[in-house]
Amino acid sequence: MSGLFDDLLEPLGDTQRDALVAAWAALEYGSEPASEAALPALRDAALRHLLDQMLRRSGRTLIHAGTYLWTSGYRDDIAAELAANGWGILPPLEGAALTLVLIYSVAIPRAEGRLAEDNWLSPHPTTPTRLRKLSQVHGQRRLSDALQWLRAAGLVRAVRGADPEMAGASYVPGPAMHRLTPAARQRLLENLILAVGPDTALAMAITVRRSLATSRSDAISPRRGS
Amino acid sequence: MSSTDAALWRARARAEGPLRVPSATRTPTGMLRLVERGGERCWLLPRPPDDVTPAVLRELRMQVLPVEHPNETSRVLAAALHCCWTDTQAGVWPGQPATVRDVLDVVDQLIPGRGEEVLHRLGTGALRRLHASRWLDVDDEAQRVCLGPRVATWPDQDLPALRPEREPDR
Repeated sequence: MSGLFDDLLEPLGDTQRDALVAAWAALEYGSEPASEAALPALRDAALRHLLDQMLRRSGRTLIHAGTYLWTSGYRDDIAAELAANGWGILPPLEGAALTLVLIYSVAIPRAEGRLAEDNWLSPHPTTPTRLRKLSQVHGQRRLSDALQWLRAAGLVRAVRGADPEMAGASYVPGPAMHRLTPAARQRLLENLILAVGPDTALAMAITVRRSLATSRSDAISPRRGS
Repeated sequence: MSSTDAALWRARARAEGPLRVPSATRTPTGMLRLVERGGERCWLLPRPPDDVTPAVLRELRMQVLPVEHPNETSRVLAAALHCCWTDTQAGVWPGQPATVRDVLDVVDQLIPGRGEEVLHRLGTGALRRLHASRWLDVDDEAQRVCLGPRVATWPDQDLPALRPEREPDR
């Protein structure tokens, strides 16, 4: 017994309980989103609600990742707390490499109308040429380690042969990008705008809106510990 | 402890891996507490519902995130288990410390004929990966290998299959 889920699981019969635990494992351990076709607990709305409750107790939530597809990700309030405490933050070079992959694989193709979907996945590879600046500054070995770390976390995926001119793999965003909630996707988009065009009108609007939201939430509930 | 605190502890362990905290820290609801050999610090790991492990994904025909060089990494973990899990009648955690040399000697017996340089390269890479994911605790300076807290998440029913076979005493 794990304690945290007992009151949710105990009223269930064995079949439903097994279905729920299997779906929990598929969402939390699987590298790709899970299909309703394979998991009864994802098809049944009542069990899916229970599954979301289980996830929420772990600081996670159920995320719709496409037609009949589901995954899990951090609750927005928990993600904000993790970030505020500096827990689980990407190290600087890993963050820079991921940012470049998101810019070249998603942001630019979407701005050019080559990507229609409103998510952070893409078939357009970021080639080694695009990452060269990072290897020049930090060294190829250090960049390789950072990319290996990102691959292991599912944040990027290697694509071979995308750039015949250059040795080394190209990269696209990895399956972990499915795990972003709609609010997290929006936040990521805004952060990219702030990073690449801090003086643009759009960036100003984002800054103003965020500072208004912060002062409103501070007025309603003072931050913990302050 | 509030439900938000319990959720935050688990989310933090998901984001950072097993958490090493002072032993005086109260165990959050739904987490496994593993006290280190010295007793000053302990590890906190989230307990999944019904202690389900990623092995269930094989039955569901789903993929887990791939490990780099999975064969070499598994062999080095097996070798470390052989060296550190000396009392196989006891639980696997925390086991006994071994040296990097001991572990690589066992790897050499598992995959003979690789040569010293190749063995060192593949061993170093695998030990780094296993340390980062907390399957092992590797002290590079002291050249010492201990089992990491993740080995304690193996369910009891899997342990007989993992128990290293040892030659009878002569």
